[in-house]
Amino acid sequence: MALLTSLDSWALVVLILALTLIVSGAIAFALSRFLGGPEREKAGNTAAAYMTALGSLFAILTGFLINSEYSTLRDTQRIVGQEVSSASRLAYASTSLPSADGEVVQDALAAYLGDVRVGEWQALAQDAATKSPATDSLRQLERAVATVATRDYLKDAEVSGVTGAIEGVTAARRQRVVIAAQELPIALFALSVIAGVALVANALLVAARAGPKYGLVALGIILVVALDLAAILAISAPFRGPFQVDVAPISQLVDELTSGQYLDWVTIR
Amino acid sequence: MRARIALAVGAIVAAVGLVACGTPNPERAARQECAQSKDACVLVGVGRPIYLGTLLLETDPAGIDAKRSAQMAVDYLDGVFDGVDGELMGHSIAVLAEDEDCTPKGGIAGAKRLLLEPDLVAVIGTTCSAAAQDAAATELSRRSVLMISPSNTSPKLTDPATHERFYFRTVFNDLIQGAVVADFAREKLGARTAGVISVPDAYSKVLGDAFAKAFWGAGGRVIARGSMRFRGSPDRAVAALAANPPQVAFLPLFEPDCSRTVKAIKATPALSGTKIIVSEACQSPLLVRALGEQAAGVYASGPDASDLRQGAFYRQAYLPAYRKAFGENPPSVFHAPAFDAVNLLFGAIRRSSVRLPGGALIINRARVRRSLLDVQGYRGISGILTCTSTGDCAQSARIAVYRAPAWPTLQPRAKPVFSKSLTLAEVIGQG
Repeated sequence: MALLTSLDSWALVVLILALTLIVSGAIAFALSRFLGGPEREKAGNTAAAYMTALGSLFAILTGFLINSEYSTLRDTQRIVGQEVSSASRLAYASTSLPSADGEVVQDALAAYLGDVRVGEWQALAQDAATKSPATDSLRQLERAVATVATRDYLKDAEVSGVTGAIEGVTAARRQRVVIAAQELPIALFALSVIAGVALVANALLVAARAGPKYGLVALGIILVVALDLAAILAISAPFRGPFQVDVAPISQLVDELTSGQYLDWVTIR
Repeated sequence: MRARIALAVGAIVAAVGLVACGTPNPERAARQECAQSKDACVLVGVGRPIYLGTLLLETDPAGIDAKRSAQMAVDYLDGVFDGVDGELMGHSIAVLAEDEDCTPKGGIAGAKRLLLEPDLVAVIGTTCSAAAQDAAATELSRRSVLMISPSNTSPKLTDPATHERFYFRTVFNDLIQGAVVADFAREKLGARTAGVISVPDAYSKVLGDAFAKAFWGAGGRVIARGSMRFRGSPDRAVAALAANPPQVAFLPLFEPDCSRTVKAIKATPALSGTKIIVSEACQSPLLVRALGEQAAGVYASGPDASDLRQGAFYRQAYLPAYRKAFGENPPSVFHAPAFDAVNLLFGAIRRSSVRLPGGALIINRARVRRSLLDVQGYRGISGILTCTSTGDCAQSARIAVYRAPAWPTLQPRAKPVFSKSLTLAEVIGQG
């Protein structure tokens, strides 16, 4: 499954389409081989009666999966947004620290976000969050903030500003890791595949009874089933495959941090 | 039909080309900038250190202090004063140390030795203005190597007519010190006449001139000027003052010239009523040790240490760490500007470098300089710093005058007898 969800959109569509066509071809071959004229007529009539039910079942199952997976993708994007927002708060909070401390915190923050930008998605795609370079740099960021927070010379508001923001960053990252560990519900997906195959078989039976001209309708259904299943796979992994969570907000924040935009004593020309 | 297909293909290729060209690629841009000259950039490979030089007078408390402070700034890169050096953008810092001997010759020789390292990014130094003016600053600027001094106070170094492009300093300009000492002599001591003994170098003579100009401006008269050779005998200069005894003698000198001159003045009966003021370069325990009891009552100008003590970071983190690391209080007033100088440099490197995949860095020297010019209102431990294109980062300073033995280098909580804050704009405007 991980292999399928890692494919890019074109490869995924072509592969699923090819598989669906092969399965459809096999069904069509079996129907022509084992169903004679009168039986075909009878089976066609029966199949026509089940078309709506099977179509609805397939639509409900895939609709549910698409909705659920897309929600996960959107939630993950929102979590990344929260992480960026917390990181941004941390950067702003660090400007109230003595300059040397503020730079230490911002440097560690930029290093962490830089590592997220470069290596976190790949690590999460393989469900290996601990292998992400961001794991170490987050630890260093936590340590830097914790060290600063113990300083007697800081006011309570300054300490709570940085510690509150770092909690937000850590929590958001933890949520990302949890989501990355989640898999597409295999049973539900398998049920959708079975419903799709049944729908295709049904459509072929109806087409076989109605004649070759109606084969185009069956082809349409085959395409819809293939694209539906491909869509589910495409959006089911937020950190790999064609529909990934956008890393651009993190990238932008890294650039802002490294150019000194969060240092109130740097004039950006 | 073929023409249409060709047109469509052409349009797609052009669109892709436009997108590719329009996408900013910092690495490509950095490499193009670096290709312009061999000194333009430093490529810091993976696992390689960033080279930083120190060019200080290592036998003088000011130089020792600045060197220690630079070490502390490297230590604090990881946010803790623990004696373990931190890293800058994943690279360690290698500090190459050279001595500048407080002379132009020494400054040039030291700069040349540092430049033997082709990947040298910047130099902290010099201690003496004399080693910078027409010396180290020129050598380093020629190779686009940034130089930030924590203790060069000569106005000449940041005069637009003589300023070297890659030269900066975090310490105050002596135009401010000269004006405050003149105000002290006039307002607090009520002196109407003053004398100056200086060495003909970029620091001593220029500070003496700044004091004399400000003293005249405040309604006083400079009635005697004495000149002596660096590390030479003060007798002739003191005799010049004795010929026309002033109420105040200002000595902008270095050790050991300072203590020798004070001794000579104290031994001259004609100057028994002359009050002695030494500049910040003499404000060290060395002078008090050399003079013993004779040091009592000698005034010394320098940055107001109470300003430093107001900073909680300085008081509660920096100073205890300094004492722990070196077993004593800072022996001069230049540790604070040195710490700020190194931190400003690190910040400029962070903001201007391009990180390559894998961790290597491209440091463009001109960009580091431009980054320093972006600094506006940096809250350093020595004060608020704003760097200008003429190299002055300390736009204002509170200069205090202390009376021995209550000097901050001897008694950290010493109270000044006079203190005044002036901005560079104010003193230049007055001039």
